[in-house]
Amino acid sequence: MAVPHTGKMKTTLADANLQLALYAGTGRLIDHRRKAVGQTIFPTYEDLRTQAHLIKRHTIENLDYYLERLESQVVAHGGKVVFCQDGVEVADFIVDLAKQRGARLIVKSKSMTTEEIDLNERLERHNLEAVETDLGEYIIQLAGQKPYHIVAPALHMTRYDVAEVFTRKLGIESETVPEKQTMIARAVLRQKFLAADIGITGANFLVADSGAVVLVENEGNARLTSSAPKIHIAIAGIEKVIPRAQDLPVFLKLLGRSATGQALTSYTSILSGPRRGDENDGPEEFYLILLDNGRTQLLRDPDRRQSLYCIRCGACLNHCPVYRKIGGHSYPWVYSGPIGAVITPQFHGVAKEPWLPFASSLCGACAEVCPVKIDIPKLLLDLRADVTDEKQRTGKSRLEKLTWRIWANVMCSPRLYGIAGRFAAAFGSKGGRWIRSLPWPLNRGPLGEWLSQRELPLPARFRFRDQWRSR
Amino acid sequence: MSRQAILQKIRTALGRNAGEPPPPVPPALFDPLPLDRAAFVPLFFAAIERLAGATYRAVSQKDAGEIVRSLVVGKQSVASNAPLLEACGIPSLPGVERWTDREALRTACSAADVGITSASYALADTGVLVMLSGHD
Repeated sequence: MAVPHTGKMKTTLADANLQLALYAGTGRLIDHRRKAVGQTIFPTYEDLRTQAHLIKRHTIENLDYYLERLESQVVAHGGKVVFCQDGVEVADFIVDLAKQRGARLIVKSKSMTTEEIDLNERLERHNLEAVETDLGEYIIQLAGQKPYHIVAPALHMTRYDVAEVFTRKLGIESETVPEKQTMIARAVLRQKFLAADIGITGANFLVADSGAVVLVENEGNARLTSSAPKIHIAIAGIEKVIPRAQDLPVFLKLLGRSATGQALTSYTSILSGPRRGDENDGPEEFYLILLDNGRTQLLRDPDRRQSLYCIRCGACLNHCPVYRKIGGHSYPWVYSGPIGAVITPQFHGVAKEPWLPFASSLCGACAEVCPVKIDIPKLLLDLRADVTDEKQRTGKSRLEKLTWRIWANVMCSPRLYGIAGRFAAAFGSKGGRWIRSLPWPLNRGPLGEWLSQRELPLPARFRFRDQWRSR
Repeated sequence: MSRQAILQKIRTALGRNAGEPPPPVPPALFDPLPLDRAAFVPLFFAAIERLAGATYRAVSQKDAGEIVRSLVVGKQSVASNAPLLEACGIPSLPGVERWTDREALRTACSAADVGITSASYALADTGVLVMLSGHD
């Protein structure tokens, strides 16, 4: 199997500092979550998970109905709803709006949906400055990187890395104290908030019966992004809708606990359109962009549409032994970890990154911690079957098939099995790592990749058959 | 145009028709904290303190004003337009500004050391303050 991201994986595995940052960062989130879900809460944590799963299933199964309901409520509250098929349509809409309003500066709060469509890069091509205002996102934007983790985008960076970025990009003498680094970012961003023409946020939840956009955060930057500029644009995937306001507490209780171990995040904003005539605060214009970008493809399969239940808490990443070793940048898209391995092939096709569904030990930890009970291991197995089907269809599995046919013939024939055993014992008698010392070209390609991560047991010098005969 | 295309793709994938109502939503899960009202305030104070906040108990509106005075002395402060703050005399404390003009309010907030608001609700089990924005 082709493994195009082995380069990134190898550099991540070889970087002791990065391994420490990754292990410590995800470990802290695991500990916080464990303590939070272990507390006595009402209803119980398991009841909440079951309820969230039922609500998500109901909503996704009737998605068109709830999107139209949401749309009518947003419009009733003075907002406008724009359906977009992809990133091009989103960027076109924002660029046109910016031109009409003479806007130049855009502040953004953390949004994986906008990362998904490379919105900042698209806007920059039209001379619009888009500034990330979440501290982690701001740091990685300055560093020219993509998020490393759904919830903690700069999880991989140490304070020394941040100091280097601030020196290079902001011209600030090396400052390695995290609190002072935060104040530096705060001073820069405060001016951006005051000068911004447009604020762009994501949405954690969209409430159909009230038209509310719900933003969950810890820094207060999303609240400023949505209220300080005269125009607020919220961009959300079509799957973010939930039916009723009374369903919201279920998800708020699960999201904070699963993501950061908080009973509730520091700020939860429930926004309902632009400010009314008699109000002082809030934006003058409000737009909700509902993005497809491939999500409707996931609806076709009744089992696989559960991928759209995800509330982006990142718990599956923190608990995944593969993610904790290879890190977020080894994955090919912005969604990393188990959920990334599930949704990326479904968005882009299994042929593009066929190794992804295999980037899992199938230990099941992801399913155990998923707050909406997505059966991630089952989905990974289904996608692995798709990869195999695709390889058979395109003839890419010929070498693999030949290998297995030879293996089957050897295992089914006592005579061939005996010869193979004698061959192995002959190498085994020389001691050491016999297969790894196989000459080129046998130690290259898929076999080489396979052996690079495995220590094979040494074959017995005296075979069982020989011992049995000599009794 | 994309609206219709997206909705149609969804309906085709789900086998649904336009305007078709969904089956009943799963019943809402509501299980209130089994506490009597007397326990609410101590629980709320404890929750705030767990989150590194400080709490003060005012016996009257005048007392609340005096507590705020001690907290904002020597600091630049901005108060919201909540009627309760007015009743406590907070907008007239030294160093406390209050604005209704949007631009003036933004400028004052960006430079302020202290922000003073009221709250519509206080949630006992989490220490959360609920503020309804738009009117104050």
